[in-house]
Amino acid sequence: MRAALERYESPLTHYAARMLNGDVERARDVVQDTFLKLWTADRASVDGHLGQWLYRVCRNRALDVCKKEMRMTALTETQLSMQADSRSEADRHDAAPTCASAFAAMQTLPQRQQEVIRLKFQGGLSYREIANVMDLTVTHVGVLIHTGLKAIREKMIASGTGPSRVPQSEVIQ
Amino acid sequence: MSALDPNDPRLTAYALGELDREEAAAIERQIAEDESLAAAVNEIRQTASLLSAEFAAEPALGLTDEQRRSLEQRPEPALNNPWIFRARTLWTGAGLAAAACLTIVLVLPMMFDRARSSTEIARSESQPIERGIAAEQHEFDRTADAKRDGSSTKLGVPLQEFGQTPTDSAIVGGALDGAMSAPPAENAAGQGAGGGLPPSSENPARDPFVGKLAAQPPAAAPSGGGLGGGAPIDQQARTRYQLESRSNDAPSPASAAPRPPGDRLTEELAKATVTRTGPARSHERYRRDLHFREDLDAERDKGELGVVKDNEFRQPLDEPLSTFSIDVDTASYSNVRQHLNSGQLPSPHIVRIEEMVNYFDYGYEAPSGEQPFSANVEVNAAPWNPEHRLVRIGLKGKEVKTDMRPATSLVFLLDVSGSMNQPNKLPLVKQSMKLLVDKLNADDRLAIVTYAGSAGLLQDSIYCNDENKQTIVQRIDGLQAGGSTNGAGGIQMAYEQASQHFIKGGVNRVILCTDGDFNVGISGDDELTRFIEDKRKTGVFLSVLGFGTGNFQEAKMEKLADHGNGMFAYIDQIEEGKKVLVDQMAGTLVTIAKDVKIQVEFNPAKVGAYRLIGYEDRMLAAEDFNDDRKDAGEIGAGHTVTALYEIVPPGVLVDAAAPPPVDDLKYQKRVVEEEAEAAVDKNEIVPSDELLTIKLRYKEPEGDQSKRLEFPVIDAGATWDKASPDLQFASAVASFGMILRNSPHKGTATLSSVLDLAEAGILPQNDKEGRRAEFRQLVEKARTLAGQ
Repeated sequence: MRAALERYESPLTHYAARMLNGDVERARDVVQDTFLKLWTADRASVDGHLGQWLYRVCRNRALDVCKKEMRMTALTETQLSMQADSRSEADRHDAAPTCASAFAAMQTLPQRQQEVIRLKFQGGLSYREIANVMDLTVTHVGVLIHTGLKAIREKMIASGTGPSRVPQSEVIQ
Repeated sequence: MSALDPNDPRLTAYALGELDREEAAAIERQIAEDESLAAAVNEIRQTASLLSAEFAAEPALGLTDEQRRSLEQRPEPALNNPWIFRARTLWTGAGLAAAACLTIVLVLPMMFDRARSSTEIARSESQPIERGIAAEQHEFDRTADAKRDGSSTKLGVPLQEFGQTPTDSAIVGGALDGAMSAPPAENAAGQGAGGGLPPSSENPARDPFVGKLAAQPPAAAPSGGGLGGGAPIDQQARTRYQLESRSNDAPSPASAAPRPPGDRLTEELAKATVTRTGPARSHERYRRDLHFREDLDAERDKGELGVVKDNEFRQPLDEPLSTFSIDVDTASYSNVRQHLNSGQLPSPHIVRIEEMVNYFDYGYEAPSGEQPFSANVEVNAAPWNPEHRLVRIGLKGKEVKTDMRPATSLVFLLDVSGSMNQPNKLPLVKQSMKLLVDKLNADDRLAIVTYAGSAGLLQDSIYCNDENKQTIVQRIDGLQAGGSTNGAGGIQMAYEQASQHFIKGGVNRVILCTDGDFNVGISGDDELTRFIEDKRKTGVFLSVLGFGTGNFQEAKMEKLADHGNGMFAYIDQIEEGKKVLVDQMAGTLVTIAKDVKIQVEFNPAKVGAYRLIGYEDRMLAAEDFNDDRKDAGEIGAGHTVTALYEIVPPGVLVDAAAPPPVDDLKYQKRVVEEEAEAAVDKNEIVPSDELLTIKLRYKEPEGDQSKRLEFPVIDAGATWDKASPDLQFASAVASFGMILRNSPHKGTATLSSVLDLAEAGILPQNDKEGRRAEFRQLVEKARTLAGQ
């Protein structure tokens, strides 16, 4: 159990924070709740796919929180404007053409592509697991990751920092 | 397969290894023929590895320490207060939502909404609990009278080969078994009845001692509200509190007291308006090896931050299996003795009950035949809580006569750093070693390596014939502590000696003697542990003898010995040196079975809840039992290992001091929460008279495959007047340990009840060495020190 906490605490918090427009405090709450769930969960339902389980529970939690927040923003002006401020880079991806790293490039992608990429490369989940977490088909996940990686590569090349096209001769060996 | 172009998503899937073999092969063929495809795959992989690297380099972002603590002190659903469990489930979720709120106006509609939207959710999670309640209620009705009869006799169940049924052991109990043998047919049907138990008449005001402790946290807890508080504060109330009030840095112990129903909402709101702060945890912690982290956590729990929490009561419906590794270490008892003899009460964190209980030999029947050890079970009332039952599992290792023991190659690795230069350290090491050398035979070998002072090979491994013995004794006499630290590699040198002079079929062991200085030549706990483990696989085991007080890193010593398949003892006086190195030489040196694991399955029809006393840092996951790769404890020749389970019969409250339930909510119906993977399979209860089944696994000292033994236990309902002196004494030691630990489970145990129990357990024939008598003196000392 502790190992699970160690392994997934930080990735999940990052993930939840992304889902929650960068709100780390709330992300921590979500992650804490996720692990509380894990403590009381039926072992059989978790064993063998811990990562997938955690990400899924975490995601559902975060979405719950998002939904609530949306309701509240409808009620209070302050919150509304706060939320507008905290809108993540995801919604501003047109505005940031230069990308110092693959990571920065990723952050310019649409939310969903970012999410699959995070699940893949941070969470280490397989396509199928990602599909289960996000309620998508495996094919859809494949397309999202493919498109995402391609976009990242192109953005990096455009900004001159990315891996340039590898000479073909190197590839062959 | 259709032709690929470089922009085909399947190419990405292939590059990331997501395709099955067949698909991958098909794509490989195409790539081989098309350079542009190969280039695309290469690019994808490059980008992917960049991303992976950058994700890995993301700054660690984790829970606040407060949140972590609340998770680590994971609340266990307790049998008797389901309302707390339910409240937690519901309010945790509500708390999450409330965190997002700023005003009360928003809270209520939102909660309504939540209640409505999540009706379906996580039913699975609450089912076992509710079923537990229902079953409990049911059993309670049926057995309310029967359980008080507590009839019967001591039960000794002989070891049975797996598959055999007990013969002479199957003593059927009286009224108790009669009343309980029918399976509770309605137990599953009651699952919808989530009403919970009514406030019981057996649920009076809280134990006054709880309050007292809350006001006086154990001295050993350096971090105030942290793990150190592991004592008898109602853990659940406390954890829940932490959960709900994360904004407060350290909840004062007083606030762990039950709050009047209804003030939660206020608290939720108060919380929502407080800005939470929590230090981000250091990046470095995330980088450490995962396996080792677990060890470190266990270690931190143990020594540095406070007290390991006592094992809690668990319900067989939730957790039917209890799995642990045996532990023959006795260091904790010596350490406690050292404290008491020097006029201070030991702090709770050094008290490990299983090590105290296992310090003593018990007259368990020796194994007959091929088996390396026997198992002896006795069931009786728990002296500190007469409604509870106490199950003693006693293993006894095969005796190996000292003159029959196999040839031994020993390497002493001695800490001669300046700090060892105290009467109770190096001189004690020297004395103890000389006692041992005297007992070694001409075909035994011994070498001495020193480290941390004047490091080096003091004595090459030589046979211990009479002539050489003189040389060895001279070397020992010439040992001096202090001087500059020069040269590393002490431990490598020691193991070199051990492997160069390895005695095949014999005992090969490095014995590390230290007061806590581990400057042995390998820095880094991780590396050191691995080194020892690797050497263990070559047949050289490591034992650790601890000396002195102060910078006494017992957690680390114990861990090293565990990884080295050896034992860890703490030598506080020459008598202890004699006990460990001379009296129990065979046991200390000759391992007769390794990786000994115990798994107990409890029968839910007979057991409402159970608790393993001690062994907190020896707990294993249920699946580790059959996993031969999982390391566990060793048992030496003639050693006895004792484990005690406290069992709450069905229908008896686990903790009479639990707070009263809160009222049902008026505006919210109780709902359960959503879960990714719902659906718990319901288990049917198989009717059986057995209380529990004990399963053992062990390996021969040289073997890699474990053997399995199993034997069922029936509670014949013995009463205390039938308890064996050994059981009385073991429960005296366990009660003493619980008192010293301020355990929330110590029940009615007091130092004088410990004395009474000990008195009954001391007979001339079972205390030839006077160790039990010494225990009695220690309890007297504790009584004086505690002012009782």
